[in-house]
Amino acid sequence: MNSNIVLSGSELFKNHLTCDHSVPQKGGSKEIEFDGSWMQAKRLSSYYEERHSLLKEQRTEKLGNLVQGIWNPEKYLIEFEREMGKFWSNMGFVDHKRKWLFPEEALFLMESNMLEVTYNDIPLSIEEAYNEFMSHGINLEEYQVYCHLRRHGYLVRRHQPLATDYEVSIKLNQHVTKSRKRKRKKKEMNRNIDIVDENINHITDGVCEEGLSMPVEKQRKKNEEECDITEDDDVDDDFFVSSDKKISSKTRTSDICGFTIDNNEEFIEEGLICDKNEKNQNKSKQFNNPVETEFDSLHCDINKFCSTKTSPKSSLEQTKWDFSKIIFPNIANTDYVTVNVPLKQYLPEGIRIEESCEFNVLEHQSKYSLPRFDPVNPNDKDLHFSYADWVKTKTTVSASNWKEYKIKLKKAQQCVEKDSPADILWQGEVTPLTRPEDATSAANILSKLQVIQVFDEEILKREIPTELASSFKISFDVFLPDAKFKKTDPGKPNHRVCITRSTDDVPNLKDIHENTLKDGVPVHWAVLDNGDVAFYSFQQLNLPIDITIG
Amino acid sequence: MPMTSLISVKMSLFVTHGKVFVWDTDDVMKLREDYRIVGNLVGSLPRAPRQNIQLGLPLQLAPDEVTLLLEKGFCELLESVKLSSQIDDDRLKQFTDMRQTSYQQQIPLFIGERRKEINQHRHKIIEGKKAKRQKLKQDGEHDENDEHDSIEEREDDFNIDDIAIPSIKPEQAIVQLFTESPWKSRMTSIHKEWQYPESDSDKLRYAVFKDLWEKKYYLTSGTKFGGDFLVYPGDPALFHSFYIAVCIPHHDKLTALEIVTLGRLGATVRKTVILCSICDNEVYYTSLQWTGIT
Repeated sequence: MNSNIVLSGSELFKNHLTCDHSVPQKGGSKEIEFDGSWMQAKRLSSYYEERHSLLKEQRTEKLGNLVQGIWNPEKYLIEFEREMGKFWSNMGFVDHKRKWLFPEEALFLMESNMLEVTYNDIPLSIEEAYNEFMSHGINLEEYQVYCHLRRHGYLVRRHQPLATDYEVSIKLNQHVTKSRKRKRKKKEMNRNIDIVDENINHITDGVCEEGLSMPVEKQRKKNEEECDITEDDDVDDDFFVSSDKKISSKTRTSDICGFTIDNNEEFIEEGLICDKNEKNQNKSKQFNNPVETEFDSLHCDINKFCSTKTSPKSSLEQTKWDFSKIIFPNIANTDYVTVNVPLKQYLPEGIRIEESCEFNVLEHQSKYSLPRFDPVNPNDKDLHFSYADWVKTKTTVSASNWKEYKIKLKKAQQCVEKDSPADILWQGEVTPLTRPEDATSAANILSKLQVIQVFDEEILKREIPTELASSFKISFDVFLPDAKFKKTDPGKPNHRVCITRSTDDVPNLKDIHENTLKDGVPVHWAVLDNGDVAFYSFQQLNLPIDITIG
Repeated sequence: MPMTSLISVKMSLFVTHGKVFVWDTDDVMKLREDYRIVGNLVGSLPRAPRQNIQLGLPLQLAPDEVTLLLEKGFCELLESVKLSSQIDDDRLKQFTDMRQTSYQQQIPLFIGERRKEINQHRHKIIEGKKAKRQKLKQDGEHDENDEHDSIEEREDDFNIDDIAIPSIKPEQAIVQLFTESPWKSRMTSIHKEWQYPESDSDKLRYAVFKDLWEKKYYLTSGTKFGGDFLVYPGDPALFHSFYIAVCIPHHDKLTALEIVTLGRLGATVRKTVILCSICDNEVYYTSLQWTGIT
């Protein structure tokens, strides 16, 4: 052991007792010129001395205050038993009842004198940790940015793709989180940690998986061991119906994509844990037949529904609806439509209908139809139509085929042109974009002139990035420090960070736009230069259109 | 006065995933004071880890700096070996012994501290005890005479010094979290081939770096000022930089826009922009000065 750096017991004691936690101030005026004077030399030497004493200090801490962690080189994670310290609420994750930390989190805690990581029962030094931790899933640059943000006080997590608005609106994210936790509950015999692999794959793939689709290929057939409910996971136990092996009586119906599915044997989940009381019961069940986890994928991913093993046909056969008895009336090309009375069992209570209903189509239409588009009608002025104003002034021509239409349209336009003094402009090959009659307002003309549409947020949201083809991948989600932060449900991050080196190329506009995922969270680019971090971000700016009321 | 080293022991630079770090405090000081290599501190400061104003070890070196140090023979480059999965009994024993002796050494020190504290507050303690006994007396029976009291009071003086202070538990011992690895002298290291500079632009950059360094300047990274290097006449902590060095191949064409950009930049930050290029193995420096026409 290198005795230069190992402090003896007495030194340790003295060191810890008299530890000064102040940070030397940076600042003060610098010299203007190097003149080799004694004053300058003195200043320099005192600066060096201060620096030396500052850097020479060792890390000391009470043994009881340190959390002990164990480095696992196969999974590149740190495991620890007792949780202590305030960091558990916003770092790390639980898997198979074991608590894990990511390497960057663990290394940061080591540098903050809160954690001691052992390997083969010997604690690792920071130098050894630098060598060991930075290989898989996280590299040195990412770690330096992570540290920088954490030191400022932000809560930084690895990037997780969020639920899109659509998925939130149909509450898919709630279903998936629960099934994710269900998957964690199922333990394997040989303790293969799939979730951990998936987490790592999330990051190293560099592909943003839209939505919460769980790749079916990654699910393996698992055997049951113990369930894995910890207090940390907010599992809504009532959600799942408990079932045992011989399930047939308990059926599960769920409406997905309009299909009604009855429980086939294949869909049945075995050994689903309902509440903690049944934990022990399920422990003893060692299932030999593999659990069909395809059902999980149904919850997780609507798109994959159609590709499940069971054919939709067989499920349709068991539906409650008998389409031979349900008749849809024909409402085309008839003056009168007859509708049969629906079966009473499907009607809500308290509604009475006559025997058969007859409708007069035209009468019905005139009563309920929407007002037609009338270009000449002045009442339209206050209404906001989805088409632009200038469409109204278009000449409407009726014809029975394209050729006739074109001829008639040309004639109509020519008639119009004759009246205007500016019609000379239309005689050549190059014609103006707007017509005199378009001059209803300045905004109108501008919208007609906008051959190239202004790129705005709406257009961005409409495009669905299927894959982040750019080489820049988002590394971290950053959250503002918040006591209410829950790492199982962090919500939308306040910022996202993408990491590049100063020697790399500047991202082009395509990369910048693609990187801003649809939920409008600003993306910051962290540029590293041998340890120096600088943040840059790009903002969408819409130039205002100057319209004078005309 | 800066330290001058008469010993020609080479300093060790450690390569970790392509980046070079210096872990030894003395080496870090020597690099700056004697060899004008500045580098970047990237670790958390042990005494105040949650701030970004002053960082601590390790020192990260730029590739140019590393190549220079290797060329001049001041340092050697090492790569640490991966931790083996076999349990090294010898090392484990050394470590546990160290912790144990440290713990044993600390027990009397803790006790000494505690005793000092007690002595500081002895008056308060005595008063507290008296008050307690008064209270008990009043609550209890009144058949104790004054003589008895005085004996008890004298006993108090003894008790203060004889208060038993228990030994600290192992968890309360102070331990050291090593920044630099303590096993290095026994660790086998591999001397690695250092490949920088490789590309033409890197070679140009390194040549400029070396030339400026040999002219006794201090050099740091210039990306925050739009250039390759910042050139200081003295230690960057004490002096402002004079030049922003931009490396450009000698026969490259520069557009007027680029020259205006650089000129403007230099004028705004009050530094001179120098364009550095190599022709016939010699480094040429061209400075830009932004003036108006009067």
